[in-house]
Amino acid sequence: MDFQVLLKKNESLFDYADIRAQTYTTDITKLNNQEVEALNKNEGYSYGIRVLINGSTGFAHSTKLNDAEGVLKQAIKNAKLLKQGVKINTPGEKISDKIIIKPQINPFDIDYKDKIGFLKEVISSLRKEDLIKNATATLIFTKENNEFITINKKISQEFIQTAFVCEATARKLNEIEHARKTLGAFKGYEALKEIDEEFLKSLKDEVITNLNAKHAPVGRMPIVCDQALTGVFFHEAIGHACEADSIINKSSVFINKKDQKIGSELVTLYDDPTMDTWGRYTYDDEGIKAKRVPMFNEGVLSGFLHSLETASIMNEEPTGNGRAQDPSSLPLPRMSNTVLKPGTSTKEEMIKGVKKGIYALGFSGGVVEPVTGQFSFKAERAYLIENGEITTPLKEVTLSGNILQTIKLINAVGNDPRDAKQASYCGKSGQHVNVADISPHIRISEIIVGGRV
Amino acid sequence: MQEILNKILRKGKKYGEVEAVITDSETKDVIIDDNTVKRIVTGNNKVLGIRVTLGKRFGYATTTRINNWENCLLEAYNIAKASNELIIKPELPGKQRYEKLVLDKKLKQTSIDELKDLAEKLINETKQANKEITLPEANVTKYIQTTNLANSNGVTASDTNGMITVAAEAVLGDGTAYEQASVAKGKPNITKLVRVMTDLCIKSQNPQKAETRKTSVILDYFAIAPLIEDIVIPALSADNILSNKSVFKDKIGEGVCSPLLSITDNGLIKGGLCSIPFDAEGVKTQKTELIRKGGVIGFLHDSFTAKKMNTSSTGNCTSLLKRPAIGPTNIITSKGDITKQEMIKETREGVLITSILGIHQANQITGEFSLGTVNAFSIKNGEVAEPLRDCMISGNIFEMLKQIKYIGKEQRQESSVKTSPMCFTNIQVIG
Repeated sequence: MDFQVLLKKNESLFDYADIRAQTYTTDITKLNNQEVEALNKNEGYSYGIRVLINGSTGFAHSTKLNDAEGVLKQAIKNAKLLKQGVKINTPGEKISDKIIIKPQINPFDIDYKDKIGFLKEVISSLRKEDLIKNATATLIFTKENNEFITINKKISQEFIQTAFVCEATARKLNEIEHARKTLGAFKGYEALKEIDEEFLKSLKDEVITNLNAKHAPVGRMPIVCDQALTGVFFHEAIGHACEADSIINKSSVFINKKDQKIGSELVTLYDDPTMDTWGRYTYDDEGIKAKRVPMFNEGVLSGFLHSLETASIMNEEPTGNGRAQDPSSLPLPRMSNTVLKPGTSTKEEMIKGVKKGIYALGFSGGVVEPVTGQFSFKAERAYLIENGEITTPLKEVTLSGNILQTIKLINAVGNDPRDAKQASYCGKSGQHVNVADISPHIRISEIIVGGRV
Repeated sequence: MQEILNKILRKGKKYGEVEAVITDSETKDVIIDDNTVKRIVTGNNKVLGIRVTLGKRFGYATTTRINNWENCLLEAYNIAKASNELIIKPELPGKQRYEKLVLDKKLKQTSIDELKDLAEKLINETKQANKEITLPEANVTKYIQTTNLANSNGVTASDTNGMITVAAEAVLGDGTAYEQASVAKGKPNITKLVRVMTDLCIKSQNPQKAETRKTSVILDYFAIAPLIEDIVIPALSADNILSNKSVFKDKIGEGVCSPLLSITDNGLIKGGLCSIPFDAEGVKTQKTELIRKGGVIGFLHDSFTAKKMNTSSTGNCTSLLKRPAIGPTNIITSKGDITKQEMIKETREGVLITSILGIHQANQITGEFSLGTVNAFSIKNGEVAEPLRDCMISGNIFEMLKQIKYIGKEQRQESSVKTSPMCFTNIQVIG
């Protein structure tokens, strides 16, 4: 059924309604050592209908093809169950747009044998290193067509995504280490050109370095973070606290701090879905055109990321950050590509300025407690810095601190911004969306380093 | 649904060995946002999965368009043809008898209005407990799933299971507390949840800086359960044994933990959150001893790892998507004979940790972790003393399990893990 016709037919039953529908195909190939662990193709269709009635939100979703009318009725029923709600300002302008991101080589045209062959080469390269006892490699190709429909809007966004994941496990006597590296791009099969010997060498180096690394010292000390770790720090510790729902829910340390200088003046941070990286989109999942949104300007908290609902509650303009994992989820304010404006320092200068501290690279996860501002994140690799020189490799380095204190303690920002090009997903309220971080190196004068003694 | 599965099997005969599964799930979700029931979400999701095995090759395809099953079957067959041979030939399980696990009638009938009432009760009782405490985020969710599966070797299975979960985070000043109540029978106890959550919130006010030291640590449910679920159980899964990703490789019969600890997997517990009569391949679930009094005695298997390791499947296959695919049902740890209160008293000096943050940061293979904590308190003179801020703990869960001081009496289950608080000595706390 034509969704727009359905909405027009039932227009009198709601104040506002939108429909998100998704057609998807994924193709997964995974090898564990030289054995095929998974080879599959998944295709499907789902849609979700949101209605607003007297400020109440009702939402229903389904995979049933011919039940859109029933799903709309259910969404209306759900909205009517609620007595109170929030008046959401819904932009009424007419939009009809079709965005297609075309790959150079359609990965769905490539034979499974070639995909298996590619992964076999990856595994062979990793297993050349004697200490690597297990290697897995996975290719995930996704084709999606996401439609957004209201009475006035009809937007479709179609793309192909390529994600590559490889993991290596090394063993030396009783020591085991494991490392993982990913690549994600809105490209087709051509994206795999980046999986070269250098890419795989960095994974081998990481797992072997960690195998021989010592546990980190514990306590408070200065730290120099590489681009990937800086990216995760700003995403986890700062970006989430700028998502407007956390301000409304009073679960952000940035409440009542707008337009105040709360960070180092070296910090200028923004969200930008229009950049061609893993967090990109043209319209958010509420039909709002994506744009660059400032969060920090020279240490001053300058803006929040909004969905339609949070923008209405806070009486601000929607920013195009209302994102949902899929049509079965409601949009929430989310980051896309988080960008830290580069500074003037070189990595060498930053390290030279540290008497005893840590040089930490990459990330393997991070969390933040938005209410208290406590955060912790883990580096993939780390080295001790002694008298301005990088020395001993360290493992299991976790860094934690408090957002409001730490953002003041950034005393150098590098001139070397980089997109880690990873297939990164941010999780919030059970929903995962693609995100990217584009950051230079930074130095923080003091952070809690957790390791073992 | 069985009718479509039978059609698939009949048509699939000409292609090879066929397994087909249809899952039909229904969710009802009442979302609390900023102390108010803000949204009501309902939905259903139906997916067909078909795996075709041709000798040593296999392929898998899924679709949400169930009537499109012929294309899905052909897709799985074409993928299997294009694939490489596995080292051994996988075998499909044969016909078997399953235990009957009946979904609780009351839970099945719980309507969206009743879920909304539970959410309102949660809001009201939290307000009554303390006017200053807010609920920025909470959910009352009902999830029901019906699984129908069949294979060309005689398996036919059908089951419906479900649960209701209430998850809430409360805030008071700069203190937060998370609490959860999940049931597969009846309704969750909101009053108890509110009491525990608000009490934690109040006690967490004015946190003090934690002292960096090695000390005794008591890990309460939301601190110990994720370590068991995300690190210990994968190490007891045969796929990780075969892939050199487990510290328990070659350790069958060896003592690897304190004799206080036994761990079993049991998919047949009545009222268990993860109880199910059969696994994704249609193998009946069972009680499987994994650790007995500190010694490794078994691993979790699907039929593929079982064949590779010359044993039988334990009914722990989680999906037809890959081979192997292994996961737990209900994981139950041995119960101690000491209450949490007595444990605190006996510990004298140390730290009590209610929850840990970001388990995915831990090294899931080596067991090394260094994690932030939530609602941590110091223990002084055998009593819970001041709350602690910015408190991290680090260690290696496998080494810690060798030196368990106490296992508590009070077991609970909010995920696949049913466990009690545990006390460990000489653990690194970082402030």
